[in-house]
Amino acid sequence: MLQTDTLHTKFLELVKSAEAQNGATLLESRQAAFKRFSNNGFPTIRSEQWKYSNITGLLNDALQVPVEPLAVKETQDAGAALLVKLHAPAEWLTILTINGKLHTIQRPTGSKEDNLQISDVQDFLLSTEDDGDNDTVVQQAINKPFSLLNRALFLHGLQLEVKANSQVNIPVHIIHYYTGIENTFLQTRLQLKANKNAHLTVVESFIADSSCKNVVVNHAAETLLAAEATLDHFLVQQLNEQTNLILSEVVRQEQQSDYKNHVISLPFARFIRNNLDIALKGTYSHTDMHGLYMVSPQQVIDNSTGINHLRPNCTSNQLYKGIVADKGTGTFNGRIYVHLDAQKTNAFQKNANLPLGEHAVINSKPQLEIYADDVRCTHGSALGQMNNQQLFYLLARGIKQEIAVKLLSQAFVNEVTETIEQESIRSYVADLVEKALDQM
Amino acid sequence: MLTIKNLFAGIEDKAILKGINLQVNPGEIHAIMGPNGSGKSSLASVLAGKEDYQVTDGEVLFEGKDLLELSPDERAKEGLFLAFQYPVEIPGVSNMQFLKTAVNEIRSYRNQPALTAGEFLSLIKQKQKLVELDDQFLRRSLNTGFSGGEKKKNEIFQLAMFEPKLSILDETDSGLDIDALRIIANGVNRLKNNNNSFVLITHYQRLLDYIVPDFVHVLYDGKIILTGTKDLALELEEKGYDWVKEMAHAKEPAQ
Ligand SMILES: Nc1ncnc2c1ncn2[C@@H]1O[C@H](COP(=O)(O)OP(=O)(O)O)[C@@H](O)[C@H]1O
Ligand SMILES: [Mg+2]
Repeated sequence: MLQTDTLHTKFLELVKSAEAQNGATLLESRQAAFKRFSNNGFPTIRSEQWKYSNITGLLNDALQVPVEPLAVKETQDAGAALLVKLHAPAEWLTILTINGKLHTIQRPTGSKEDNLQISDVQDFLLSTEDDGDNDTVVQQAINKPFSLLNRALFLHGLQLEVKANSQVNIPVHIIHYYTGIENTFLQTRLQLKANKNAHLTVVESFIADSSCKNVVVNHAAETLLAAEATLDHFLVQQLNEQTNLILSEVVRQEQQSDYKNHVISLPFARFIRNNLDIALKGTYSHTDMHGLYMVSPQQVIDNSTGINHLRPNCTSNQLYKGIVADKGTGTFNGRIYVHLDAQKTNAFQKNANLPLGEHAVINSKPQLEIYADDVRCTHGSALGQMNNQQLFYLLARGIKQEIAVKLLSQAFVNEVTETIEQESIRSYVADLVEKALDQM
Repeated sequence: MLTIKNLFAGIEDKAILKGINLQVNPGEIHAIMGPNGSGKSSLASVLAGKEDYQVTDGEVLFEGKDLLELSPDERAKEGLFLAFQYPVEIPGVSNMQFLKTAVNEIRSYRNQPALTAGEFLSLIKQKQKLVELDDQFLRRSLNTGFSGGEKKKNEIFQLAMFEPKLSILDETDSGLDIDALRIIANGVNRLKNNNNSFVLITHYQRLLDYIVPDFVHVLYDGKIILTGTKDLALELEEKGYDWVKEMAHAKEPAQ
């Protein structure tokens, strides 16, 4: 397994290289983050948060941490061709990164979107300094091992910011494309900031091509919604068995903000871990967390979500569904935390799983911690199985077993895809899901 | 069409069907009556191929083929149709998508080309009229949120779409008001011809006023204990089942 010492050597190289120097304000934060990381190192299955996923094999010795930008062969022209190949919807604003580095920005003809600023990360959105009790949950989230490591070692960071009182009218599609890299432990970063009463829709597609070998992407995201801001956020993970992902997203919401998150994990990566931590810091805010994880044989998809209700009158709604093939492992570890001050909280959580074989492994662990007294919280978890009555009904109508199973699987996932309000995004996701179902 | 010989079946260790014999010829309508729990739905399930049941003895021939050797979908493709007593709701599968999949699977089994979108729609329009099924039910998820009567109508609508050789209607009449009963009975009467057959499982004589059976059988404790014409149904309506039960027990050898 990767050793902290090795990482430390790499870290020192990185600090020396120009890439890290250009963000002088970041340097101190990087050092602080690395120090914190070194204290505990990588998590093990003894940790409550990681008990279902052993990462020792994933973080193998062969992995190298790049300290300078990885070579990218394609020219700017090739960027446009690549977007066609990747089926990037042309009517969206598309930002293509290759192996973490910003490569192409493509706008639909006639669109300006000058209220959206696209830049490198110059500073962290969510600071590590403690600014009072209210922020400790954010601190805890950004101080988790992989977030810390990313803070210390990230090579490329992209930041999107929307001006106050404005709306970006088309979806912004960020394609994280991984190609031609081997034995790489890549740290990439995204920061999203919606200022007061700003409105933004972001679709992130994580796409790996077959030229990658033994790649682990440690992607960290910091998201900030100012008062009255809305953000629709979709993470669509289209990886392969050589390209694995550890994703950590921390979201802070101010009052009357509305954050809708969809994480769609398509099959075939060996390992995907999704950490999602949300802090409802302002009153009258709302969060949606929708997840769909499709686990192929031998694959692990592990979702670890936490929503913190810190202030009164907020609502949250979570629906996570997993389809788990034989010998796949699907995990949902979801915590709702209603703090003392969060009266009139209304929180809903549901996790359901559909195993496709006897040896599918499903871990479902919903957790409710409530410290306020005037709240409404409901949660439920269903390990599930294919409904035999439904299956027999379809068979008895002449539909053969494998097609009937597919129809029922489709129906199972539809509950998640139907929550996508924007037609163009729903069909983008639904097409990918349908294709994945055919291949599972 | 259908020949059942000495059929025994059960679930786990429980014997449910205890030696059924039945012959259904093309163009015939048979009614099967009998008290609750006597095995009527079980018989229908065994014929349709429900996995929960183990056949322990006997034989079933459907159009000369060994029915029990076929998978449930093959039985349907060969022309067997079961209108369920309790049609299951399948949220997330639209009625249209379901019908299209089923119709084309059956057609492909019979070496017929898949229907074009236009042909499919006109087939639907034509069959829909037969049971007065509203458009909105086609757009919705299969049986989801349908009332009892709508579910039963949808079963007969499917029957019309698939044009089976043998249809088994399991208590399609239960819980229907008189208008719905009339609509469904009219549908069945129009679908009926000299080449197809129907088995009506029912509790009530009422349905048989609208669909006139050639034979009426009484199923009790897993066996057909009496067979007659439609007059038998009237007699059962009037006198109840006790006299047939007594008759059945009288025939049994003392334990
Ligand atoms: N899934 C099942 N498991 C065990 N016993 C069953 C099951 N389904 C039906 N039975 C039993 O089989 C017998 C016949 O039931 P059924 O075929 O539903 O009768 P009917 O349709 O005539 O009312 C009853 O004793 C019933 O309890
Ligand atoms: Mg019954």
